Amino acid sequence: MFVLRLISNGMNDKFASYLNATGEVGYVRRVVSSLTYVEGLPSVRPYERVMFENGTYGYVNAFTEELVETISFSEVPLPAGLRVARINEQLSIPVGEELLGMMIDPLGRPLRQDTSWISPKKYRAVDTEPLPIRARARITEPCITGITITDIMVPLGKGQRALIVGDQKTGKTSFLLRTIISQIREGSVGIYVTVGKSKIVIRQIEDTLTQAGVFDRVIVVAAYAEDPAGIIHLAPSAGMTIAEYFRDAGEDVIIVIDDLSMHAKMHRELSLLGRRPPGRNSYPGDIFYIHARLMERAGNFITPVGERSITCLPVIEAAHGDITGYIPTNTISMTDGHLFFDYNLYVEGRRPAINPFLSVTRVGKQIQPPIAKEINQLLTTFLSSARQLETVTSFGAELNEQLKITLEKQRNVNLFFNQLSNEIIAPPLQLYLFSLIWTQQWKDMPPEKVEKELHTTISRYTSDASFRKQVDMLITKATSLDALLALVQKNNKK
Amino acid sequence: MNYEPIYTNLRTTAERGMVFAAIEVLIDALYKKGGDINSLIETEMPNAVVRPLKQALTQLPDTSPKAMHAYLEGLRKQLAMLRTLSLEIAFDPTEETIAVLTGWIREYLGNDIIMDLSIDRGLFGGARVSYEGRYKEINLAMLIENTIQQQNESIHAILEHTSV
Repeated sequence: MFVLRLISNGMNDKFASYLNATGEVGYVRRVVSSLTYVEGLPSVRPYERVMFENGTYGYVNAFTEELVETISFSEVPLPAGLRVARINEQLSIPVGEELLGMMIDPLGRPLRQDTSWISPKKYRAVDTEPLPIRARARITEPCITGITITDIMVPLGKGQRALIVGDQKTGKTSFLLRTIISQIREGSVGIYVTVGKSKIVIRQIEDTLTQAGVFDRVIVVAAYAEDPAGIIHLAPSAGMTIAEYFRDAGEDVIIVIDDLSMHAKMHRELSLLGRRPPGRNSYPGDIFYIHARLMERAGNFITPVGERSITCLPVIEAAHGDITGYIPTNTISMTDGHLFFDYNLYVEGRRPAINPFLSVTRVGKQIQPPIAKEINQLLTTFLSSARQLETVTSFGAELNEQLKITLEKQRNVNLFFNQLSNEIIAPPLQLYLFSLIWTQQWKDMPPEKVEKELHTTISRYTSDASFRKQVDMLITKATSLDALLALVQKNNKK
Repeated sequence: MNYEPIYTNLRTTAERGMVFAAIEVLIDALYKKGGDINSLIETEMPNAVVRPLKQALTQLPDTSPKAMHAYLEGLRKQLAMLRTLSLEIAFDPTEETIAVLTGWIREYLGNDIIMDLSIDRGLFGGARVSYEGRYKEINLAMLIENTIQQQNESIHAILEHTSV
């Protein structure tokens, strides 16, 4: 007469060993999407990893008075009644040199089956406290992106947290990839974290990095759009954990989090499912804390082997160019500057479509090389006054010679800032090209011709070693911008 | 209302499940013309519960369907609140075994507790018990394994001595 549950297959050995080791068990009582509410597990701690009877894993997210709220990594909702075991360790992922050149998921599992995978032996907790102020140093080294407009107008420093904000399809990914490639060529380790992106986008990122020949110094932490919310939510922290490992191993690291607005949405989804009170735009109250805690894990640090940096470039997608939204303003306030990708500039054909007037760098200018700094100051004033002039001339006013020169210069400066999607320009070449533009080497030329001349010079610099040497020497010799302009003019007359 | 005479007669979650199903049937019948509650209790409820439930219903100050409905709802809530002790054993327990187990458990943990019995044929000479998140597995295989681990050196010494 008694209905008895028959366990036919016996218990999963690993699961049984965890149960016996901790002497605690839990039962799934309620399941809401990725959130699983468990009864039992009296001594479980926040962020502790748990194993479900069916072999899937999860971690403790929160507690209610009677239940433990866990986030499961299962792709399908778990059935109620399932047993849960504690693993008695914080949620951690494998870290090590073995990860270089690999594409992994946020739990550290390889995503490409065709690659030779050697599992790292070391593990690190995903959620860690950011290092305190005494472990931090002032940013002293520039972070060269290879993008002229950034390196001159909005320079970044190694260890800076620079927000990349802009509409969809405004060239953010292309910019980020070139920055990563530049930094890897300078010796850094690159980490590209994709948060809920489609497989095709992730494949393109992988291909670009492979074609640039830097993939063996990159780790792609990929959370696909179809992954469970718990996995997607974990991606930025997992990437940062790997970055911290390489920092402690004596490397400079650059980490891209593409994108943090999707992470915020995932956090909102999980919080609403967990019935936590919604705040502005339905985001939970702790969204600022979550992102600030993540950003604080980047910076320039004092390590036993000297200063090592984690440069973090989080991406925020702005809707219709609006950077006054909740998440953009939050992240702007917790980073050391932002680069604004302007949709209007993109439509005008400017590449990259960075708006220097709406972009900010709170760190980069203090460590910019003196000549670049002078150019920065000069161009800020010039472009601003030229823009005003442009407004006046749009009413059809007659232009004198001086105004015509100014407008032509402005057009050429914009052409100088334009870069092809795969072009990385070395800092000496950037200064050289500016000198050519500013000394009006290509005066009275139509824009197409100026563009052609610019690209010819860029490709010559890459292919012709003697020309490269000559340019580099000119830049080294110059002690100020005026000296540089004089040297370039003299050199060209020869 | 006092439901103790009823739930003390329940011993397992399986029995509780049957009572839950029976309560549904009874509540449905309350509002039907000619529905005989007493005969339904006899056919639907587990034997152990029939008599105390009938008695409790007859002793109600108001025997209107509404009052009986409230009583049955209260019973359902009370049953849902019973504490559960999960027990995995390797054999089909007899009535007698269940009675002995229930008596032993209630002696230590109180009357408001029932067992969630399940069978794992892979268990030899023991049981797995879990209660309020605590878990304990005691079986012959584990005892042997633990003893070997603890006495590893002395077992080695004995084996070496025997081989010499």
